Parts: sequence; structure tokens; C-alpha cells
Amino acid sequence: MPLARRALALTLAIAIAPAAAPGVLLAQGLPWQRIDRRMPADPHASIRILDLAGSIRVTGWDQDSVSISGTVPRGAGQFYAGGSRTGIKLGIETDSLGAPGVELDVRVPRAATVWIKSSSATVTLGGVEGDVDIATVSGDIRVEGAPRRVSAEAMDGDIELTTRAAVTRAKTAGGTITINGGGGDVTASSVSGAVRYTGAHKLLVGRLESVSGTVTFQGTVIRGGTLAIETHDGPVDVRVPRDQAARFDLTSFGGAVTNALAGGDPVVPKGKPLRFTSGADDAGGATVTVRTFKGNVRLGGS
Amino acid sequence: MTDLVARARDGDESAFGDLYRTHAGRVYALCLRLEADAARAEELTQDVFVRAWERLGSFRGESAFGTWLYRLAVNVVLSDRRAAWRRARRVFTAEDPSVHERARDTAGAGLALDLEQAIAALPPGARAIFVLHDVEGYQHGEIATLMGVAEGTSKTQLFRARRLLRQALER
Amino acid sequence: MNCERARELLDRWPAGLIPAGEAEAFDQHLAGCAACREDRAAATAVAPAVAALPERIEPPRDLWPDVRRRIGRPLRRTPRWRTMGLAAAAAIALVAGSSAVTLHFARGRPGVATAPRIPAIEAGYASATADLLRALDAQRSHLSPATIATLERNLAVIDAAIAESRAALASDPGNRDLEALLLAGYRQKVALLQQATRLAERS
Repeated sequence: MPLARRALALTLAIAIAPAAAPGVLLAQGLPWQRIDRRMPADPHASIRILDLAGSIRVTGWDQDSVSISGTVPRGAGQFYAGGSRTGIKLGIETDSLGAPGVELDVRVPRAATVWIKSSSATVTLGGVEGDVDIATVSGDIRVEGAPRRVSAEAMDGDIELTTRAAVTRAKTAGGTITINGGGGDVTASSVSGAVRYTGAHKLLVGRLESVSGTVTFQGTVIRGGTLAIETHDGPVDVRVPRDQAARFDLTSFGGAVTNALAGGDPVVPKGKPLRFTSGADDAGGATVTVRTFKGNVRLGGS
Repeated sequence: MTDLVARARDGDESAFGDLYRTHAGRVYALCLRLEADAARAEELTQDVFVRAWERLGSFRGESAFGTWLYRLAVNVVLSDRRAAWRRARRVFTAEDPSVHERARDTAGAGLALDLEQAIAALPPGARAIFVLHDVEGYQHGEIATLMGVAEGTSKTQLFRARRLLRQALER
Repeated sequence: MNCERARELLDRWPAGLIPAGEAEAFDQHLAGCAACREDRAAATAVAPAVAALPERIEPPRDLWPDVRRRIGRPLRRTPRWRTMGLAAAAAIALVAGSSAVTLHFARGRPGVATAPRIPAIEAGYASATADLLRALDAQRSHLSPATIATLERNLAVIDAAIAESRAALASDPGNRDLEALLLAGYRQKVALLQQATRLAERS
């Protein structure tokens, strides 16, 4: 959809005033203002984006500059951008709690550190290798690539991280969390939404929790690593390779615990823990712990 | 629009500080009478001025700045009441009996002291309606909209409040 | 004249000084209506006291420094001393609670880890939660009604879970796994409130 709007803006711009500056377009009574800025930036610059009023796409590139383009609807707020080569701050200053319709496309140096605070629309980020920290209220967050560390927080939005990072933090209240890739140090927490982890990379320390949502884990835990999963009544589904060496400790006080891996009972009486060790030896296997008040727990092979 | 307000609107913090000094007493009085809690009234007074700073851009000068500000204050206090997560607060914080003590202590001294105390002791709904109608001069239709109640409720509560106040004053 | 009209008049003229045109009808109505007599008595008792109310009450302390701290300017960071302090306090409570939980998970065997002292930890979380709720109240103008609704909804989910865990623990005290679940609920509540506070901050 952003593409269509930009195309429309471009068509109108060409039709009305081919060489016009944004101010002239505004004077023509168009409902939006075009942004087109470029600022020099160091490779490891720190970029802060306060887009309280719309959607943002941030992409890492191989230039020593930050480029910002997009459209700001009239009345949505005042665009600003400033700073130095090492630190740039940009955003939309608005007195409302999140006017819709602003669309920004920001390019940043690949190794930059990016901090974004947005209100109600999607934040999409890719190709950034520095630290990434994104917080939205009701917007969705999508991150791709290999940031050094990624932290994503949304109150109501969904979070999708297709990333490989040393440290991953995802937090939402009402939304779902989907992690594809993962590995390293991962913490994902939702209150009423689902948490889905599909690991392509080995997990070192993992903590997945939801109060009432489903938690699913599919991946491998490194030797000596830990995976802890907690829900209150959300179901839990854990799938590890059949040769995963680990100590398993699964308890549901009010729900059923079933197991399809060798080495442990297939089912236990309600409220009783399922504990067993599987894998070659128990010197340094992983620890997988699941605690739920009354969710059902399933353990199986991936 | 006065020069002071125009400068504040352009971002002049010290001009806004002068506006604060001019209007803080009125705003605090409103908050204190509506909330009957001095600590809350202080927080709300701050909130009102912060909100006013944020909204100054949209003040066009059609009314006096004070009128606009006090209207904003009423909105801030009433939407504070609507924030229902205060229900969650009751899970953990015990009822503070000294709340009413504080309201009495900080009300203005003099002839009106008894009335301030009596207003503070009113049930919250009746108190808000009384303060808005008899003290601040809002009409029932406006109060109904502001508080999300029926106009009839506003009228009934007003008369109830006056009766309770009379009893308190003539004790 | 009926009661409704009489009340309307009292509404407009709370001091009871009804204009000549309707004064007689008003008096006649009151002669026969105890309720309206009472309303007029209340109005006439209260009105002079209201008129004597001071228009201003100066706040007990100067609030301008705090207001100024909060308004700041867009390109200058607003100091977050207040919420940072409270969030830090909550974080300490979090660590105190969660380290016991982590220990438990790591050992995987109840009875080996040091038992968390539930009442003391609960009190710590209670206090951190109350502080955060207060801080959040102060920032609520920065949150939309929809966000507040989401926050409430999810707080309710957590509170329900906490209540269930507490009840279960009460009938099986000393159960380390139940303790861990209960503490997890508290931790999630504090974490959610911290998240909301961070969102509400202007920066």
C-alpha cells in the first residue's frame, strides 16, 4: 500500500508541478507533504526515530549517510531531523496520540544503532547490524537480518523477528511473538498472545513465557544451555531433535503432560512432574524446564 | 491572544512559566475540590500544565487563555477518573484514611473552610457535579457530556449534594 | 408549577431569588411541596458559602520546576528521573524474586534451592506495582484510551493468574513450583507496567 500512495503522490506531483519543491505542493492544497532528506552519518552512528504518527521502514545500506523519504499528511504533525554524524534524531512532532498516515522510509548505515519509538503502525527493519531497539504501542514490528542485539516491545502489536542476534528480547501484552532464527540469548514474553519460536540457530539461554497464550518451541539447545518456558493456562508444545541431550523437567499442575521422546514416560498423572534425561551423556547436556499452572504440555521430536 | 500566550505558544518556556504562576492557584483549587486529595491535586495540576503546553499549538485565541486552560483542567481531572486501572491499584494499596485529613488541612482558611471540608466529604460523583455546576458554572448538559452521565442524573446529584452540604454546614 | 420547573428555577437562581414573573407560582408550589422546600433551603444555605469560596488556592509547594522538567523540548531529552527511579526500584524487586526462581530452574530439584521467602517478596512486588501504577497515572495523558484498554485487559489476565496461583499455593504451601509460578505472575505484572511506563514517557 505505501508503494501505491507514493506512486499516486508522484503522479500528482508530475501532473501539477514537475519541478516543484514540497512547499509548493503544499501550497497547491495537496493533503500531504513530501519528505526528502539526506544527512551524513558515521558507520556506527546512533539513530533515534520518534515516529509517533505513522509507519516506518528502516533499511541498512552501505552509505555513510542517512536518507529519509516519505509523506506526512497535513495536520499529522511537523517532521524534524537533526543531529551530527554520530547521532541523528528524526521524527514527527505531534500533539495527538498518533495521527495516522505518515509514511517514512529511512536508510541508515548498516552498522548503525537504531532506536525507534512508534505509536500505531508497522515498523519494519532490515539489514541493520548494530543494536536495534523498537517500541510501539499498537503497531506491529518486523525485523529481519542480523542485528547484534534486538529488542522489540509492543503493547498490542505483533512481533516477528526473523533474525540472528546475540541477544533477542521480545515483549508484548496482547500481541503474538514469532521468532524465526533466534539462537543465543532469547527472552520472549507475551501476556495474552502466543509465543512461537522456531530456531535455526542453537539456543544458549531461552526464556519463553505467556500467561494465557500458547508457547511453541522448535529448535536445539546448546550443551550447558537452558530453556525455560512458563505459562499460566496457555498450552506448551516443545519439539527438539531426538538426539538433543538434555534434562527435561515438565510440570503442569492442572493440565496434561505428554511426551513422545525416548527416555521418559509418555504421560504422567496430573500435577506430577515429568523428569528424565535424554541424550548421550549427562555431562553438560541442556536443561529444559516447563512450568504451567494448568496448560497442557507436549514434548516431542522435531 | 496576549503577547505572553503567543510567546508561550512559540515555545518560550519562561513565558509559559509566567502563565503557570498566574493560573496555578485556580487550577489547583479546581483539582483539589474535584479530587479531595491534596497529593492527587498536585499531580493533576502538573498534568494540566504539561497537557496545556502540549496543546498550546492548537489554542487559537477564540477564548481567553484562562477559560481554555480551566476547561482543559476539567478534562484532565475527569479523564483521570476514568482510568480504570486504578481498580488494579486497590489490589495492593490499602485505603489511606488520611486522604480526607489532607483535604481539610489544605483548604483555604476563613469563612469558606467549612464548605471546603464539606465538599471534600461528598461522595465522588455528587462532589464532581456540585463543583462543576455551582462552583465552576457548567450547565447540566455540559456536565452530562463531560462525565458520561444522563442530564437527569446530573440534576439529581446536584440537589443531593446541596442537601448534604447544608446538613454539614448547619451541624 | 410542577417540581421539575421549580428545580429548573432553583438551578438557575440557587440563592432562591426567583424573578417576578414566576416567583408567585414558585412560592405557591413550595407551599405544598416539602421536597422542593428542602431543595430551596439547601440551595439558599449553600449559595452564599459558595460565593465566599476563594477562587485560587496556591499549591502547597511550587510545582513549576516539576512542570518544566516534564515539558522539555523535542530535541532535548526530558529527564526521566522520576520513572527511572521507580522502574529501578521495581527492577530490584524483580531481581530479588527472579534470582530465586532462576536458581530453582537451574537445579531442577525442589528442596535443593533456597526457598524464596514468599511474604517478603510479595510485599516487595506489591510496593513496586503500586509505585509503577502511580507513575503511570502521572503519564496517562500520553496514552490513548485504546492503549489503556489493552493495558487493563492484560493486567486482568495476569491478576487472574496470580489469584489462581495464590489460591493453589495456599492449599499446598511450600510447593516450590507453585511459588515459582506465583512469582512469575508478579514479575510479569511489574514488567508490563514498566513497559507501559516506558511507552508513556516522552523522549
